[in-house]
Order: sequence, then C-alpha cells, then structure tokens
Amino acid sequence: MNAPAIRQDLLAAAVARLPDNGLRAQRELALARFARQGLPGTREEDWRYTSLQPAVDLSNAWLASQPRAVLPGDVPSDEMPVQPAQRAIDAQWLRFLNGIRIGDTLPDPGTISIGRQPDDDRSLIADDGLSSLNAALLYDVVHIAVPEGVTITRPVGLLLANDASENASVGMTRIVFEVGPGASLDVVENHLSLSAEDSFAGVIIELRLARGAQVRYLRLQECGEAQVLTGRLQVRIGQDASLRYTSIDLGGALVRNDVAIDLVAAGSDIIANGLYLASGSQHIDNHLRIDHRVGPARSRAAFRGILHGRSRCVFNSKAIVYKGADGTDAGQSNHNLLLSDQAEIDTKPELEIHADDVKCAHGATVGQLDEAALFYLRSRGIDADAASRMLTRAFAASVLGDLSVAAAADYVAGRIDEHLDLLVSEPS
Amino acid sequence: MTAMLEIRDLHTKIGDTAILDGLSLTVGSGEVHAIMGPNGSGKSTLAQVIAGHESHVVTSGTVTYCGKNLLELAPEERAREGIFLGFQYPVEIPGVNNAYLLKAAVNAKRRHNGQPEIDAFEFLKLARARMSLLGMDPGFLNRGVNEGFSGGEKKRNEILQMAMLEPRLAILDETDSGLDIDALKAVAKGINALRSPDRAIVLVTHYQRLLQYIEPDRVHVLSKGRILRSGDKSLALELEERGYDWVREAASA
Ligand SMILES: Nc1ncnc2c1ncn2[C@@H]1O[C@H](COP(=O)(O)OP(=O)(O)OP(=O)(O)O)[C@@H](O)[C@H]1O
Ligand SMILES: [Mg+2]
Repeated sequence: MNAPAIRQDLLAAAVARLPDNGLRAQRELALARFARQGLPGTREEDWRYTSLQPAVDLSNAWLASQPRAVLPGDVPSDEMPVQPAQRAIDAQWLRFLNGIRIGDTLPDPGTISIGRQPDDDRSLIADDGLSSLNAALLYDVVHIAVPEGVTITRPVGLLLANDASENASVGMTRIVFEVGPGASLDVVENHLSLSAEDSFAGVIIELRLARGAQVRYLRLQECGEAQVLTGRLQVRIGQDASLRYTSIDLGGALVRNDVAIDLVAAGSDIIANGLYLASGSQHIDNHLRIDHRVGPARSRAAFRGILHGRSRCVFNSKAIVYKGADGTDAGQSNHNLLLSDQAEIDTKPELEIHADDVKCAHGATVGQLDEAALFYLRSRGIDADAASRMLTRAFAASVLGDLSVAAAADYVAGRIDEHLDLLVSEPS
Repeated sequence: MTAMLEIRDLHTKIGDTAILDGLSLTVGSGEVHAIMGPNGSGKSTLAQVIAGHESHVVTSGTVTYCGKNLLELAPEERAREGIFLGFQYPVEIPGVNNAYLLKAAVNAKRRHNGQPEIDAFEFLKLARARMSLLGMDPGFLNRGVNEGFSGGEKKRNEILQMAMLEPRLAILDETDSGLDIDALKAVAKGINALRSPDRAIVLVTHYQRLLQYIEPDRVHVLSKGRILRSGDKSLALELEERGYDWVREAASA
C-alpha cells in the first residue's frame, strides 16, 4: 500500500492563507519538506500497525473546503465551557482550541513566562512528515519558560480542546517548555473534543530540561469517539535532571502518542508509565523512544493496557544505549489485559545496546482475567461483574499508584473507574 | 431435623476426566465432619463443587443445602446463602486490597439478607477484633489479597474471612496444612468460635492434629471419588496409625 497522501496543492493554499506573524518563512520551509516526506505509511517499521489514512482523508476534505485560517480573535475566551479536568485539578490552566491559545493570563506571571517562540529557534524543522505538517499549518508556537532554581508548586495545565463543529476539523498545536537549571514543574496535558464531528489534531510538545531540573508530566487523553490525534512529546534531558511521565489514554478513535526522550548528559533519571483503555473500534498506539547517549543514567518505561471490543492497541518502546554510555540502567515492560477475543495488541519493548557496562531488562505479557482469582472473589459473595471490575481495576492500579502528577490523582482515578465500568459492562 | 447439606450419589468430571464417582454425604446442623483421604482422591474437588466452581461438571446426583438445590446457584449466591470455602491454595490478588474485599464480601451478604451495609468504623472494629483472636497483625488489612503472604498467613487470612462472614456451612480445605503450632491453635480457636447448633463445619485434613483441637462428630475417608468408610473421631486416630490401605482392602472385600 502507498503511503497516504495529503494533497500538496491544497496544503500550499492553506499555508498561504495563514497570516504572516513571523512564522511564514518557517511554514514555507516545512511545506517544502513535507512535499518530500509525506506522512509515514504502514511500510515503515514504526507505523506498521497504524495507518494514518483517516488523518489524510480528514485533512484533504478540510483543505478542499478552503477553510479560513482560525485566528486568536476567533475564539472568545468566555465561550468555552469549563471542562471537568479544570474543575477537578488545581492547576494554572492554559486553554487551547484547535491549536490556538485562548488569552488566559497565568495567576503567577512573575515566575513562569509565556510568549512566542523566539524566531531563531529552529526546532520547528524536523525530519518527520507529521512534524512538518504541524509546522506548515501552525499559527503560532507557545513558549513556556521556568527560570533557574524556581519551583512551581501549582501544576501548569494544558487544556487541548478540539471543536470541529464549524468546519475547523484540523488543528495543529505546538508548545515548548524550557525548564531552567534546578527548576521544578508539574504539567498536566489534557486532550478533549468539544464536538462530535470527525476531526484531526496534531500536537507537538517539546520539553527541555536543563541541568538538575525536575518535571512531573501527565498526559491525560480523553478525546471523543470521532477524534484522530497524533501527539509527540520530544524531551531533552540535561545532567542530573529527572522526568516522571504518565500517559493515560481513555478516548479517541485513532490515537498515536510518540514520546522521544533524549538523554544528553549523565545522571538523569526517567520514569515513564502509562495506561491505555480501549474498547469498540478504538485504535491506540504508544511509541516510546529513549536515547541513552551518556551514562550513568536510568530510564524505566512501564505501560499497561486494557482492551475490549474490537479495539486495537500498539505498544512499542525502544531504548538505545550508545557506545560508551556505561552505567546505563534501562528497563521496559508492557502488560496487557484482553477482555475480548476480538481485541488485538501488538507489543514490542526493545533494547539496542552498544555499551558494555549496562543493566537492561524488558518484557511484555498479554493475558485474560485470572479465572482462579475470579472464582475466589465470587466464592466470597462478589458477583461476576463486580469481580471482573475489581480485577480489572487491580490491573490498572499499579499505574495509578505511580501517577506522575499527584494533584491529578483523584480525578484520574475517577475517570479510569468510569471507563472501566463502561468497559466491563460492554458485551465482549 | 433436615440436614444442612445432603449430597446423594454425586458424579462429576473435569474436562473428560471423571473425579467424584458416586459420593454421598450428609452433614447435619451443628455438626463437625472431617474428610480425610489420599492425595488426589477428590477432597478439594468436593469442596469446589460445593462452592460452585464451574470447571467441575456435575454429571449426576444431587446436592441439597438447607432444603435448596445448591447446584442451581452461582458461586456468589452460594456464598451469600452462607457457604464458605477455605481454599487449600488461597489465590493471590495483587491490587485488590484485603480490607476492601472483606468489606465487599460482608456487604454482599448483608444486602442479600436485607440488612444495611456495614459502616467503615464498625467494619474496622470487627475486623480488628477478629484479627486479634487469630493473632493477625492489623497491617494485613492494607495489603493486597494474599499478596506475598506466607503459606500460613494465607491460611489465617482464610479463617479471618470466615470469621467475618460467619457462614452457616464452612468447608475448610486443608486449612491446617503449613501452619506452625501456634498458628494451628489460633486457627482452631477461630473455627471453634464459629461452632454453634445452627452451623456446620467440614474439615478436609490429612492430619489428626487439627482434630485434637476441633473434635469432629464424624470422620469420612474419601478415596477415588467416593466415601469408603465413615466413623467417629476414633477413625481419624486409626487412620493416622494404619494408613489408608486397610480401608481400601476392607472396602473391596
Ligand atoms: N483440571 C483437571 N484436569 C484433570 N484432572 C484434574 C483436574 N483438576 C483435578 N484433577 C484431578 O482430580 C483428582 C482429584 O483432585 P483433588 O484436588 O480433588 O484431590 P485432593 O483429594 O484434594 O488431593 P490433595 O490431598 O493432594 O489435596 C486428582 O487426580 C487430580 O489430578
Ligand atoms: Mg486437595
């Protein structure tokens, strides 16, 4: 099968319609690169199980309608209803609608600075098609900086909403975090859909951790049933810096989450865990890539999935230990619970080791609910459904126990419970 | 007086293998029965069939509990009706909190009996009291069900569940195996505390030791899926001394 193709002429026209707010040159560059790259097809190893065809179809239909560029003035800040996560999680929320930031001010402007990406920042130029498409259609890059030594106690929340009700079915978001030396920050990234129409959102977030910085990052994906979402978190980890990352996938039709972590200096420590719940015909693909360029450093990736219906999930994590990166300690695991025999998981935790003195382990499992445990619970008077729910929750519990952002724990636990209830009650 | 448990000519299979082969047993209210027998004779099978394990298929025979056809009930319904199985191999369930399960089990039964749910305070008080009777550290409440418990701790946890649920019919499958001497006494105390004229207890055991603490009314020998011999408590002593061969020989003669 050929790689899915977005019509370049229509794309060029859409790019031309965007106002020149300083990004035009970079957009044109991205457009030219995209012409060569296109979107990845299923012949590429990293995309074997995930076809971007729905994203292409949505993009082409949207581009063909010659959409007017959505600009910041188009989204009045009082029109967007308060979202559940905003109510439940005490955070400094920044709202984005279809990639455009609604003009919220931060309650704590003295410490965190928000602005436009400096024009000399070349990070928009990337070597993959999804990033080029994102850069070509981007209105603006939001740049969030935490200065050296500052500890931000209230998490920064990113509300990434999509509303496709007025033909705005494609939206691109790009955010850069610059966390200064020794600074500390919590981030909650919450994806959601405000309309039921088909839509495609492309989100790229960069996270730069300077020496000794500490970031706790939660991605909470609660998109609607018609949402296609491709997300990328690109992390650069400085010396002795640490990252706690948790990813929770609850919604979406077709979701791809790429997390790329680059360890460029010694002493860094990364724990990435995640949970994906899928049912119906959902497709959720998590791809992690961890580059251990220098040792000693530690990385852990532990994801769990619960699949029902005809859902399909993909897990791939690859840790590469470079030559000379001695003292690297890398571990990866992926455990899956299949509640239906029609659900499918493709899992592959991988290690590529070029150094000598390393400690590495990886493993994956796929299984059903434990019959012996089910009978044990039932023999105590718990009915079969409740017993299934208990065991399914127990399976998810280890991720919740290690949630990166403590302030979000109650909300996330509640949302997971709601979804598990739906999942377990759904006929398999 | 009607029997609490009445099993008549029970035949079961698992997969294609026949296990229980014409087993009959009657347990009256207030009685304690001991079931002994060689490894693989079908003791755990009997216990699991009574508890409703769906892998065991009943091919013929009847099981009546308090006048009801037990075989029609799902495992959870049997539990709520007052049947408790102490597992020979209690299952570890990481991620399900021990206290959470205990409370859910108690409440499932209460709801079934039209009683209000137990409140958190009352539950803790009751659980602590039962645990102290069994010499269990209250810390076990906060652990995953049987998760990482030693063999003896798992058995005590079974008895704790029994003590909380106060079953009418308790079937304890080798609850005495793997217990140290103090634990055996504590477990026996827990079981004896449950004895009453309107309850019955079936002890599956390999050893006479437990029966020194809990005196049985009847002792049965199970072999190859049926009861070969029944007697009073002296039968257990005789078995301890002479083994099972004479029972088999006597039965085939
Ligand atoms: N799933 C199964 N498939 C085939 N045979 C089985 C299965 N489960 C149990 N059996 C057989 O049923 C027989 C009775 O087993 P059971 O566990 O009831 O014995 P037991 O009397 O409790 O033995 P023990 O004293 O060792 O606990 C054994 O021969 C056992 O191998
Ligand atoms: Mg047994």
